[in-house]
Amino acid sequence: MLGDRTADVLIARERREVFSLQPEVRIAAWAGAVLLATAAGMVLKNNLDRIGPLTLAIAMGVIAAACYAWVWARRDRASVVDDYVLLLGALLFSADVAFIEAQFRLFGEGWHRHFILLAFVHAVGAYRYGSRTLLSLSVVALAAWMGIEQRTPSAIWIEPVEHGLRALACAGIVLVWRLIDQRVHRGTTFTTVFEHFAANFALAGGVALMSDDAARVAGCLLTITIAVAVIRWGFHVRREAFVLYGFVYAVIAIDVLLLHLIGGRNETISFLIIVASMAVSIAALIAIHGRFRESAA
Amino acid sequence: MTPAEERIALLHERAERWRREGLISGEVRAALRSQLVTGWRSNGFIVQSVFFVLTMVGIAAFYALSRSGLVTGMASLALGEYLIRERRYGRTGVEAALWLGGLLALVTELPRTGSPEALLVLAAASGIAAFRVRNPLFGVLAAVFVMIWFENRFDLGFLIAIVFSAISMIALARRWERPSTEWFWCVAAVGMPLAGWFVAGREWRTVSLVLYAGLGMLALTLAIIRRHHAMFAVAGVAAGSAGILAAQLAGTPPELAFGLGGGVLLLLAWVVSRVLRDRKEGFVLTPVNVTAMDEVFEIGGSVVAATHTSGAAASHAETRPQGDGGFGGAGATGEF
Repeated sequence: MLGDRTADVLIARERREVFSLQPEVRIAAWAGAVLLATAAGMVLKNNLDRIGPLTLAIAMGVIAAACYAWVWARRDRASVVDDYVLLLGALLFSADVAFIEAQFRLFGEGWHRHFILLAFVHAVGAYRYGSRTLLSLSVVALAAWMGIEQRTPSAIWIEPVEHGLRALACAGIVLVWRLIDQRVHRGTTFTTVFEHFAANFALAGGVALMSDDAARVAGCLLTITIAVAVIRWGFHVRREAFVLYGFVYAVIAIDVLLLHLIGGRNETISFLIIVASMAVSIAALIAIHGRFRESAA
Repeated sequence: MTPAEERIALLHERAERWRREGLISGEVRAALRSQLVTGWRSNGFIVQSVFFVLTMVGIAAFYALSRSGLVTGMASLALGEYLIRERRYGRTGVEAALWLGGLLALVTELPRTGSPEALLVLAAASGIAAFRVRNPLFGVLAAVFVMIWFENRFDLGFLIAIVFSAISMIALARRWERPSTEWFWCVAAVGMPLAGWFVAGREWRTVSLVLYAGLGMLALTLAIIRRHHAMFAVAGVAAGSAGILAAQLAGTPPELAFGLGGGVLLLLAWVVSRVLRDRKEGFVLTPVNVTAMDEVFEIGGSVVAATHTSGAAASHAETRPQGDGGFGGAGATGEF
């Protein structure tokens, strides 16, 4: 069934005659890049008075550029580590832009435009280097520019309706970007990244609306609708992750809606609703998961 | 689930991984699945986690509704046993939550004395659930409760964690009949030194450093001889912990410690990738997926790192007039 060649490969792997260290190398390189970027952020923060902002900003920019140049120069003989040198460059560039904007206020009152600069530079990097990680940084910078991304998750509850609408708008922009990418970028490997971000922005937008008293019912219904669409999309592209988080969002939205409509102030009924909804959810997820397995087989 | 059935279930998971890596086609994977049938319902780790959380929320709500640990515990255990025996739920996440949640609900019925021995009761509950549903995480949870008890009673929790990790690695040197047993040793080997970090006393930092360094060397030696990912992971955890302790003891500024650590890791990765380039036997660099979500974890971690790095870099900024947000966005600064 497997064929001699595949069987030999799998037997050698099972006996550990061939043992791949790629996961260990990737984790070490990723951790190294993140630690170095963290150290760079601390250096900028702690040495401002001693070294001066201009010198620090230039030094950081030079190191970031060196990382990009290193990976570009080695693109024909790239190793697994090069992806993480590129990540280091992108992290340093992000930190440098943040530092420059904080120190020199180049954008003045329109300071938030530096997010667009970051989104653009990371997007260019993503396409030049074919990096899904840089693409993710770009999409998150775009979301930040649109006012979705925040340092503290609790900030979303301050202006939930505005955040929800912005998240939905951002999901729409990411979907349009995905469509353009599919048309003009031959052999693209970015499609799934766009889809995951679009789904999560849209679902997060629905949840944000749910947290507003006046918009709760509409937010729940919208979240359920988006979740159903995401689950269907998961079936269509045969990716279970969409099905799973679409389902979890749907369960949350249905419970919030039921508690809002029926049991809001009665503790016993509220718990009864949660027990019943979890039982129904588990049964429904078993059925959905079974169908997904059948369709994927 | 018998040992043979567990091995067949493992083969299903491996077949899916081989398909993702392009070693076999979807048709071959489907053929393997149809020929190797256990009759048990089981799920992958992520799906199990979703079922586990949903079931636990249901148990918690039922507990709040009934206000009785005895009723909740008995009902959960009965339902869990029914699902295992009659409906053949093997590793779905549902039966695991019912067993763990049920036993923990029963524990709440015991009188509260405030004694550290309560930790042993929790350990027993986790251990029994682990044994019944063959869940390695519950087994390690039991070991962590025992470790905390040792810490409270004898101030020896950290030593227990390191010794247990070493024993687990030695246990991993042989093949186990049940894959779940092997997974228990894997999770214990990696998890116990991490758990030990939280009970290590500041006054014992030098001893902790020596123990972590010793464990790291043992793990690396065993990893090279036995070629096991879990042992490499233990070596990484132990070396990282020893490095942090060494930096603390030497009073190294955090930026220097992070910079040195990051530089060493990146350099090490580069050297290993150079040495193993083009190798076809022994240690190689063939692409391998550890989980189906490898890239998601990596991208998520990178986005979080970017946000924090830039937040630190820009933290000298004055409060913006808008004042309704924080730093973020692929590492950019600013206040919404």
